[in-house]
Amino acid sequence: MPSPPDFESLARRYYRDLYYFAFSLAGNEAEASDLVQETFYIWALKGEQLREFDRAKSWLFTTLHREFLQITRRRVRFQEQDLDEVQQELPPVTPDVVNRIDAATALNSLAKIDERYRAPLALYYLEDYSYQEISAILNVPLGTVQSRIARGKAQLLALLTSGTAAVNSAGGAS
Amino acid sequence: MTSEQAKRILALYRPRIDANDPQFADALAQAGRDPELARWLEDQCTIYEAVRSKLKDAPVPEDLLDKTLRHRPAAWRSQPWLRLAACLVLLAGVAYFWLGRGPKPPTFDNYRRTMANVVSKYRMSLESNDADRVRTFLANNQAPADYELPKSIAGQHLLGCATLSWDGHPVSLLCFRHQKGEDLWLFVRRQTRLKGAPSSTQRVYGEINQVNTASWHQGGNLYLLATRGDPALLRDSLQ
Repeated sequence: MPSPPDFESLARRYYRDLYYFAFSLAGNEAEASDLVQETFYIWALKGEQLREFDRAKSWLFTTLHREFLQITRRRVRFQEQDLDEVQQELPPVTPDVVNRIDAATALNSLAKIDERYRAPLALYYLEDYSYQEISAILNVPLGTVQSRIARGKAQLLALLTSGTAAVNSAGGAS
Repeated sequence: MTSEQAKRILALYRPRIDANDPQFADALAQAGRDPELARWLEDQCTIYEAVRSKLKDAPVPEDLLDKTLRHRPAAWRSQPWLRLAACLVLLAGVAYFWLGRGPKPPTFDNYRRTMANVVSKYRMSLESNDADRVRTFLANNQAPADYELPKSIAGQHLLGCATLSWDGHPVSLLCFRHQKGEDLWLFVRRQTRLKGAPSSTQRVYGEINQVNTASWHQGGNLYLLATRGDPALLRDSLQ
């Protein structure tokens, strides 16, 4: 059985990816940094239990998301709609508009969309995971993941082009 | 499928990542038949890449990596060390059984016997063939890192390293794969009053439990090279 990846090389390799994900969830630098550190701390304690070390990155994302949920102690259950029912009115956006936005603003905008859409949308944009993999990482049904991504995408594009005021009118949050 | 239906499906399509996802196959085929839909899809893909690129360019706190590396459990709490500790406890138990007495005095014979047993039970702390990285890792873990490798050993394929402790003294373990396919283990510890240990660069050869060893002293360090292979391998490697 191969040895687990060592702590330092794993941290160096993935801390940026995890930070973006954490920031999109938490919405601020301090909490995002804490989440990243805590995630690697948990890896140091429990990561060796993972049998397939090539899945270490997914494990880190799952752990970070779980930590975030525990911290925020979410108790609200939202009604989800199937993807077919979602009105995907994507706001008119051109690549030029996106290119004019600075990177920090883009990440801040991701952290401002409806909370339930942030995690799937962050993985949708930032990582190369399939929808099935995103579903597994977040422990959310596939249809729900796609529904949340569709709605979150509409909100994000509205934010990027029209400012925060537009977020409430996009995506038709239930 | 109409182009309007295809557009609803393709709103989630990501270039490259979703290219082989069957849920998009029919919609992509429709885009192949409808130039207007194809242009719309191209715009969506461009926007996706632009947003993705922006997000991945966002700044990350400069000190985050350092904080993350510092914010780690004490070594004894992490699993590899627990396993190593369990291993050493087991070794201590075996040594107690063999010799019928309590803890052994810190003699070279006992050190060599313990290390000869470690080769079948250790777990590498770092797997790397980068000699500088291995040396840095050992230094960072307070294990001897000022070792001088015999040229013939330095030329072998480095597999990684582990950090051990014996009689309260840190020991570095470097693992090599000899070009003949045999594994070589080099233990390095400071030469601190170890009775019976070699006191010069002259090699002292021995065999314990089918593990062949060569030992010498150099630059304040005690070296112990071990292999399960042919004892001639050690002599050839150290010439």
